[in-house]
Amino acid sequence: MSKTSFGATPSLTVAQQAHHLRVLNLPGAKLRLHPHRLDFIYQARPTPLSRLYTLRLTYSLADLTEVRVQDPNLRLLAGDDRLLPHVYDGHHPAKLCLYLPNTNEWTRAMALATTVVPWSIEWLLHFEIWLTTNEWQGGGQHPDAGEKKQSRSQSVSKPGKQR
Amino acid sequence: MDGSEHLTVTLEARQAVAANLLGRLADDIDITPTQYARAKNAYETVGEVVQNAGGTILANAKVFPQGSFAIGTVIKPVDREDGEFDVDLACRLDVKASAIAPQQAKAMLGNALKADGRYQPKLREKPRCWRIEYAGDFHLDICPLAIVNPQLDAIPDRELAQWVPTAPERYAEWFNKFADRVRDIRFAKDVALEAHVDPFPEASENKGWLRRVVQLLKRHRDQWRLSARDELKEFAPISIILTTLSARVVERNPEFFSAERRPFEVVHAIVHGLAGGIEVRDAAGKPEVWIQSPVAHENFANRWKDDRKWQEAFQAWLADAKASVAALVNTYGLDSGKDVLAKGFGNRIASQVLTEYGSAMAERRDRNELTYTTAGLGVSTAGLAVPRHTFFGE
Repeated sequence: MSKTSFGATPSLTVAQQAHHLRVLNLPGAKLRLHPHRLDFIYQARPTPLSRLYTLRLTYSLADLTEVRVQDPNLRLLAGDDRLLPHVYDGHHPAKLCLYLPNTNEWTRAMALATTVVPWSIEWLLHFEIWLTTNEWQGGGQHPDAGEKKQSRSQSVSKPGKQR
Repeated sequence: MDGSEHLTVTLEARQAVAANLLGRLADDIDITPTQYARAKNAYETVGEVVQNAGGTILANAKVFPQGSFAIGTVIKPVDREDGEFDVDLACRLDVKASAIAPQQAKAMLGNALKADGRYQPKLREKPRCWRIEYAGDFHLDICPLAIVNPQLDAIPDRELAQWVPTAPERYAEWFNKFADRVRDIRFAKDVALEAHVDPFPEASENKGWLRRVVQLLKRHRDQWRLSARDELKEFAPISIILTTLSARVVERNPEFFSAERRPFEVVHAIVHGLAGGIEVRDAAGKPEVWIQSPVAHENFANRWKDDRKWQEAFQAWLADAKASVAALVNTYGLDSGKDVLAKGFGNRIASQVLTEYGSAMAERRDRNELTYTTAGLGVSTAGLAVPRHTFFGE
């Protein structure tokens, strides 16, 4: 997993990813850089009328990128009888599905700061609307949609492999 | 990692999104251009039928829209989600009010309509007008008018007992002047503010915020009535009062409404200025509440003296309307914002507004126009771009 399968563009190093995240200058952001891994905690309000959310992005070259919402507890907001939309793991802290795995939509050549981070904030906007309408307006693909078989087969979407 | 960090959002930014949601709501309860065209076509046909029914009084009669249809403030009814709405028409007969009784005028109009086979199955008699029902679409309520002088018409009173002065065309002219003034306000182009506001669909830009506010207030009144105390329900403020008081705020404050403004400021100023158009006059030593018609010697609040509940209901409703607007600005979570809209305007329309807001944001993302600033997602060119992507998963 230490390089992408998409040819020429080289993967960014963890340090390079960290640099891009720092220059975002997100209020309340905390970055922890380990030798092969980074943890980025940031806060976001998807609209001026939205809650303030705290998210945690974990990235390493050896493992899959994950973004979890640490606060508030999305599970509690959704209530017991509903499954959160577009998550790999709906338990608190929920782990978000932000791009089509194993496509070029996101590769390790791309800065997390300009892809996964803004996507996670957009996820929160659609989450707040889903909370009240039960409908997801953000678009996307479901792994079990008939014509999207290729997506379903991708193991990256299976929660079991994430740890 | 300490939770004490706070992303502050300016009040203006919160107000901007609140106004965006309210504006969308007003546009969603409006009639569609297709419905408008169908209704217009229908009333023009009615005009021809009346004119061809025989007799000079009818041959020179004029059928024209009055009320909300003439001023662009029609709303779909709150309790009927099939989209049927009312179109109020006037049929000005070519006769002096002194020469015909209201009952006679109404009968003459009714006979003209009954004589046409197309209308017979659709025609219903109402206390002072005739209703033509276009099932699933709209009704035309046609009220007879007679002439007082070139400036003034007369309309039957509720009991059909006497004529009362009215001037629907001049009223529409009066209202439209202020509505157009508000429409033409230059809205502040504050980049930081616009950053998180998705602009309105272009089709509604001609409407302006006075018409939107009137639609919102009428809808809020309808919703309020559903949950009001039983003894106040039937005293909910009538549309002509809400419409007149709204335009009066603009009339009284020409400077405020000609300077550069934010949409929310306009909404707030009108809602908080409404009561300023209510006068208390001396009527033989007793105070009498007046909401003066701008075009005739008519008190739109003439029934208020009969029962204190009219005033009580107006005040209770107005407090509720102000509270709805304030609560929307103070909301934390779009889902809570939707609850505020649902309470004030109805659950179904509130869901529709939030759904549209979400899909408008997704469309912007798909066009690579969506950005994020610390105030929120929007279209600021200074923001962090949200590149096109696909949410995956269940």
